[in-house]
Amino acid sequence: MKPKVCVLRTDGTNCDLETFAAFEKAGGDCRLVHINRLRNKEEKLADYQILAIPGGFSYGDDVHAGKILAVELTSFLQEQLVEFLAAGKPILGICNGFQVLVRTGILPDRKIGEVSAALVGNDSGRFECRWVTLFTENAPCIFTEGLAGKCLNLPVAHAEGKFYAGPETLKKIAGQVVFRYAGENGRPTQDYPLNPNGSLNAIAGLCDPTGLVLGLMPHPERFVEHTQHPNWRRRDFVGEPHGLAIFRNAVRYVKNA
Amino acid sequence: RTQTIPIREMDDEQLLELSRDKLFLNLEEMRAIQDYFRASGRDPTDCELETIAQTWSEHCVHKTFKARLIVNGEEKTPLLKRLQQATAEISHPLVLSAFVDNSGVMEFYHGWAICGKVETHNSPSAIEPYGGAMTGSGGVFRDIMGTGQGARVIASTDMFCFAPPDTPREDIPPGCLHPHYLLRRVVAGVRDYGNRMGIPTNNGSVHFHRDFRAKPTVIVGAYGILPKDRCQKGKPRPGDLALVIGGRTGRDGIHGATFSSGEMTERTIEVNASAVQIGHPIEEKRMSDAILEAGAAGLIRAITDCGAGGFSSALGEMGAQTGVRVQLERAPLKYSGLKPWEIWVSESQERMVLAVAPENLERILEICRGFNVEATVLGEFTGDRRLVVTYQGETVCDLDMEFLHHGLPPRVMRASWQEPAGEEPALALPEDWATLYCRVMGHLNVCSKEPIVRMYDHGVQGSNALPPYGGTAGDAPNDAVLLTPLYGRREAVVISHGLNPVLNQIDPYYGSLWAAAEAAANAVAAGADPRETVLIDNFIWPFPDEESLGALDRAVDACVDFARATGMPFISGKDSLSSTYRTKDLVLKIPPVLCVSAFGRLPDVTKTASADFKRAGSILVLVGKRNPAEMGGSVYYDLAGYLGKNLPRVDLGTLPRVLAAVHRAIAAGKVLACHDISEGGLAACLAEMCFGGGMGARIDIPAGERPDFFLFNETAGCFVVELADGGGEDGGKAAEELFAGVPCLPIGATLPEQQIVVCQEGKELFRVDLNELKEAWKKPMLKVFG
Repeated sequence: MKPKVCVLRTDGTNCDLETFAAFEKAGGDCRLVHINRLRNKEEKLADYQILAIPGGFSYGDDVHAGKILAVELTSFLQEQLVEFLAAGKPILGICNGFQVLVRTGILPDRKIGEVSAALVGNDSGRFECRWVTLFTENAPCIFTEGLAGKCLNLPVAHAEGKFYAGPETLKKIAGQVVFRYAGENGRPTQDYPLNPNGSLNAIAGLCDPTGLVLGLMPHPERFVEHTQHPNWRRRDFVGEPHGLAIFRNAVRYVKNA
Repeated sequence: RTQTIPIREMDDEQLLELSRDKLFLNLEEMRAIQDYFRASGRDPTDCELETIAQTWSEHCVHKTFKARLIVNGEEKTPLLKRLQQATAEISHPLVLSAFVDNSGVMEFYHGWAICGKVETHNSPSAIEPYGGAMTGSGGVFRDIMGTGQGARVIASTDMFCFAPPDTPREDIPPGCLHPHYLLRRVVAGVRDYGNRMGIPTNNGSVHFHRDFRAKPTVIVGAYGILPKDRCQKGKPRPGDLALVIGGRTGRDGIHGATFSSGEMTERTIEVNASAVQIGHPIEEKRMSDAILEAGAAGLIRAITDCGAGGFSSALGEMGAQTGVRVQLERAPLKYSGLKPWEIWVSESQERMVLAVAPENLERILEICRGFNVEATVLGEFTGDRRLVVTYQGETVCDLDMEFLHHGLPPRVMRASWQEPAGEEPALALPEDWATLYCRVMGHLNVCSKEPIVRMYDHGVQGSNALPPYGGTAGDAPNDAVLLTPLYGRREAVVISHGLNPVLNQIDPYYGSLWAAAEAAANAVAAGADPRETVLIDNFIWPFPDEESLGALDRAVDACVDFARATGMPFISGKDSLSSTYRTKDLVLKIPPVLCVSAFGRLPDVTKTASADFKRAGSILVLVGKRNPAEMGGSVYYDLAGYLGKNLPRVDLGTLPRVLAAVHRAIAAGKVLACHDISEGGLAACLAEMCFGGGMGARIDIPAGERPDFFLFNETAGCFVVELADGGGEDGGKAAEELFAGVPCLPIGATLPEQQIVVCQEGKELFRVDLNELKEAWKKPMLKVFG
């Protein structure tokens, strides 16, 4: 049985189709689910094994990036979310989806309503679309099994992606950091543009303490085919495009669970 | 409320006064309206006059392109007809719809079609650059969304012309905004619409010339994909409902169509501020989602966007063959207080009109609700061929469709063209080559535009297979964009463009040929098959007085000749003939611009090329025909303070063979890198390829050639190609075999050193560090965008 993946969409979601395609390629059985259908009870989160919140500008990122969708999720769908989390099902938030997860409190602490971090405006003061190198930490994250210590090339495309949290939180979540912006040598960096937004501790992606929820600013769904890499003509790829493993791991986890 | 205008009694002066600032019609057209209402035995309402003015505006009806044309005393085929005839003669087997729908459509693969449309938004962008550029993007996206029974937008392009950002304040004419501000705000507008809607913006360019200081040129394009079996323009049937979906109607964008048909004056910015609309990309995105779902369910009979002219244009055109009856009070408004005619012609954004069979209404309303899209039945299509609009029971418009669409007096227009007097400068050979090379790279029309591109999301939708900037450091430009819109498949769409306003000032014929050749060459450099590539034209011209019209006539001839010679048909196009700024003491003609866009299909994206050099020691060849002495309009001349006269004359006899040969070589996997020559010439082309490869090159200029001309000639349709095999002794031979029958010259090789070394007759002429070139090349836009 292919795991059922709920690719959530709402006003302003715009990376839904490629996220759908990436999960399908990884062996998922995907549905595009508008949040209205969950709110109207035409669909239930419980019918899905994986929840993906794709990138985009949900509700225009008015107020703050991801804020309105986060409020909608925690106000109208809190029970379904709590149930989904309690069932030990994976959640992936990419870019705007990451911002949403942080605004709900699901990241970093898995506590709905307790917001302890933020993704704020890039240090450059503008939208940045570029490829970055990510160092994969040895975190207990189901999405990155087998990737620890490796470098991934993925693109970022955002204006509000600087990870920010107070010193205590940063200390507390140190073991939950999944991806850091790095130079080609794999060393995490604060140097622009290698670290495209000025994220504290070069944090690009983060999981919750259980490792079932992953949020990241870079777009793994944009590198699941070789030709999506800007320099695919220059390099001989051995192995898979770097984004695919994240989706495969989620699908495999559900299958083995 | 609705007023009646006593037009029947007016004399000529009063008619012109009525037209001024509002209707933008000429006396003959005003008289035709007067005659119609005299015959009808009544005076028109304000709503009726607005409807006619909008329908007859240059923006909507393209009077000049349809006019009978007398050129230097001899009648020639109208401009639009010439283009359409050429397309008909080519009869391209892949073209599914040309010039009839909101965009041009060609066949893709596996039951899909792709479509393209390019628009200008100069007038609004001149007075409110952020809103103008935003709604330019929004409008051209809706053109794609409104093609056939609805298409998905897969790409956005942007081409701009401004005065240099450091133009002195006092040089800016009254009522015009400074280019530094315009450039930044236009870029922000394109960025915010495309990024938020999730449309990758991945092909474009910026050109600078002092004469754009009175009005910028802002060109925005969009491309889409749709099922082939739903790609033909739909026709409403009597009894179908007219459904408006999307945003609400407000007072923004009143008179957009008519005002943008007028010249720019020092008063435009004050009188016509309300002509600019406000963009809301999230509204458009959810509307797009709803349309795609409704289209897939077969619920859309016909669809069109509410662009220029608002409901008046959308419903007036959609119902032209049937007639339509509209109850205007049903239109959802942003706020109360709008007069009926304002509701009717408002160009508020993010609205589309659908013709829906009554039995499908409930299902389509439900889809719209699911996406938070407002949908309202505004009226129904009839069979009486009348445009009837009522507002709370009162008839505010009742016009005969025949008069509305065919009552416009045909124009007879005179054109004359004389070769401008220009002179060819006699330049001495440069002494400091390295400095000159850096100055060429730092010229505004050559320099890197990367800071702009980085603000556009060019990877969204996950389809990009050739980015705008690539190479080892991610900062070297490619010639075109390649997209793979069908997930997991290798079939690709190629998109490119070309324009060079400066050349049109010397000779619009060869300037236009250059633009078309550049568009085609950009596509081919990335691997496009010229046999499966089509074109879109955009003429942005000064107000068509005799002289400007003479230039326009030559530009159209160039397009037609190019299409016939290459077999690439024009399948969509647009003209904007208001690039004149006029006050009592100053008339400024903005340089005429022809932008040619090219798009096409490729069966396998892995058989394409990028522009960055791949390995040291490869042989480099120059493919294509050029006469290096044709330096008119070049960056090299410009830096010396000259325009020149002897401009590049693209040879249509050779070009098609060159394009075919380069395509064949790339498809056969014989090419490591390919880049076409444009502004800055061979020198700029090489430098960019070196930047991408992180390696240098050695160039041997043939004996007898003037080295400056050889390096800086800008003839379009020529390529630098890095060959996969045949380094060393065999190099020349491999190239000869690959490019048999077309002009091909081995010019050197790639080097591991970070330098470009230029030699002639075995002697080194000069060498220059890549770092120096790159710094000069990056500096200008970093200064603006920091």
